[in-house]
Amino acid sequence: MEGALMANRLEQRLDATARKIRGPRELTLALWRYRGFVFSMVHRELRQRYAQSVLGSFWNVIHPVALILVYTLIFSQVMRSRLPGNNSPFGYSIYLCAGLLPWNLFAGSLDRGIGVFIEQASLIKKVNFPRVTLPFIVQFAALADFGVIFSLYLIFLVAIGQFPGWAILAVIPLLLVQQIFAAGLGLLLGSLNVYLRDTKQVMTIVLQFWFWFTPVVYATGALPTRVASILRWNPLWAVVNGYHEIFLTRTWPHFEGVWVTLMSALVMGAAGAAAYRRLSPGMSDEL
Amino acid sequence: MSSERPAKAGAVEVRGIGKCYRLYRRPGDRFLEWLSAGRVRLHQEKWALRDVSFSLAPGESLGIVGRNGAGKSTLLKIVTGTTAPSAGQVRNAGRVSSLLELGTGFHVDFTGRQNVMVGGRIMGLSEAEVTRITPEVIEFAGIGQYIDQPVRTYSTGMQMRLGFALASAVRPDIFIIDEALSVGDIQFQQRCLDRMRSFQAQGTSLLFVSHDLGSIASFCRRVLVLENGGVVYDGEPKDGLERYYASMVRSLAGTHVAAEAPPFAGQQSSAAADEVGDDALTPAPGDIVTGACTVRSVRFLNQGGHRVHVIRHGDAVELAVAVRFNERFEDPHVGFKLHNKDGLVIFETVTYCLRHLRGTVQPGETVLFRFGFRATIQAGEYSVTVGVADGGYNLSDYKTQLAYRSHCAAITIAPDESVWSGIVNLEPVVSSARI
Repeated sequence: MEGALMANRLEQRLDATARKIRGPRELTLALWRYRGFVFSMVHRELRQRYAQSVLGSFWNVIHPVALILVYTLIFSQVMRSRLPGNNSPFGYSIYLCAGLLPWNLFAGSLDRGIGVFIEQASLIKKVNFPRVTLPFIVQFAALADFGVIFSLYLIFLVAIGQFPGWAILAVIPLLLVQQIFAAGLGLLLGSLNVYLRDTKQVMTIVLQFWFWFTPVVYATGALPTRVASILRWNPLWAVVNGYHEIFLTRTWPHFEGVWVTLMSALVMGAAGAAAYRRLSPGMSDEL
Repeated sequence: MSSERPAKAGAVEVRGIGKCYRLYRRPGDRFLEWLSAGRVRLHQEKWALRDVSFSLAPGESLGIVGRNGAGKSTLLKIVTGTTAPSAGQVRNAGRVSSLLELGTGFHVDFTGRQNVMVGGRIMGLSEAEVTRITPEVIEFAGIGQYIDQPVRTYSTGMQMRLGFALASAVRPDIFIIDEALSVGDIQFQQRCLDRMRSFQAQGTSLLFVSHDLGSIASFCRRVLVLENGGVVYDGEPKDGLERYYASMVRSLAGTHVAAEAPPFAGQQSSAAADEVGDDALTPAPGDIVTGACTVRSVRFLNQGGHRVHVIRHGDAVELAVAVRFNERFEDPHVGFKLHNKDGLVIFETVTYCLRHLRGTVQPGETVLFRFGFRATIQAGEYSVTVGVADGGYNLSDYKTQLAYRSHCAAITIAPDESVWSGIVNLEPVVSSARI
């Protein structure tokens, strides 16, 4: 009873205050009330990229498969001996996909998150709705894309008899931490990007370096220990190693160093929320 | 906050709102300001709105008028909630639907139908509800099979019609419209007005900005006049529109503003002094200025012979053109064109066509030509172009063109109480009989 009353009061407040989001409760409520909008936007987002192409969302699969093929063909011979714990001829492909697919999810959602307020400028300027739903739409759309390609990967693993079994469940917490980090960072930089358009340009370059500072293509063992000990502080380092453990050795990961990612996710989540709260009121004037 | 009673759906309460824009000369300046943590100030503040307050009861309609840059659109954006005010607060009771200046928030790469789906869901409708209203929206917007084409292929009018149809598909408690009705044909405008009237009857309050003062006069029972971001008038539309015209007159270019009679009001200056003057008209590109004659003044006079910049629709008015001839001419003629604000010639004539022959004029003689007519054209701003020629051959040819002064005077026609639509009021006489 009191809960319902509370929700009612909150709902009124949402209407009365031009939908200012003050805390997690209002955020949840806004997402719930606008779930239809969020859903239709995610749907549109997925369709949009390939709107006028013949193969449609099939391209969504072709791109990563092509990338995987390129890296496999080039690196598999070089890297095979160094991959720990897997002697399958597909060893390198498994290794590469385990890191590359989540990396693409991270980089893709971050990149889109930085640009989302500018992309949706016309909506922000013309329609009153909780803008905080936009970064969530980006996350959901990226996750949907990822879900498709990741399922294909799992089918491939089952087909070659390399499915990791129960250890697969460990992917969920790793992905969660990784994407909270991505969402927080995206919200922070996305809010900033409205005022300073250079942000997105800088991040495009940073992401290229970041990719090579993360053990996606190469194995950690290939790095000198001094370099590896520095790169451990990369928030993506530990999660990607976790994926490797799950898919390559097919064991429950040790979550070694994941606390770096977790701390980064918490800090970035708070920083993103703070930046959004500070910067969102003036956004429509800058777009 | 909790102690306040929740207002009735449709009520709008605007209290002391202001909007300040920060203007930076370079994008980098903002960054430097951030870096200095507030110690350096590199922006200029521009207040687009200052201390605006009003409240609306459910079912009330408020027209907002003001010159460009007066803050009308900013005000509507703040009430809608797409822009945050820098000061004050807005309280809206109930669901708000709005159509802000040109553009509807549609995504151009998606079809009209897909945009209606997203737009409907953002309004809070369920998928089933959106599906249910879609045929009605298409019908109202009158865009037929275009609904399945990308919005990119739509004309501005079509986008606006679809926007209006969607925004008004479900009756909102508060309906906010910025200039939307200026697009589209008269039939569509009429359908919009009908729908707005029926909403109003059901308790929807309306806020609307339009340059079509006729529709404001006929539709709103209350008008808010904005000037430089502040409210200068809030009340009856008749007085409000006069007030608005008065503010336009003050800012009209011209040197004789001080001597000008207040619109529609009593007269102080003597009529004779108003008819002729030396207005030192500045030549516009393409003008013809010769030593043969001087166009001394081009003025509009009301029935009392007093100079006016504003007259009410339907009133009699005279265009007085004073020309000093510096040489002897045997057959001088004077003509004028009346342009609407798009530059289109609404009417054009010459003394020759009016069969008026002045006869020979002597050097140094000033002749005052007066064209009297009734202002039956639609309310709005008009400008006048004046030409002087000598020796009429036929309706459009003259021996010599002595002067041509484009857009040298302006007149604003204010709406009266008559309700009609179009360019010219034909003032039809209506009758009916059973036969």
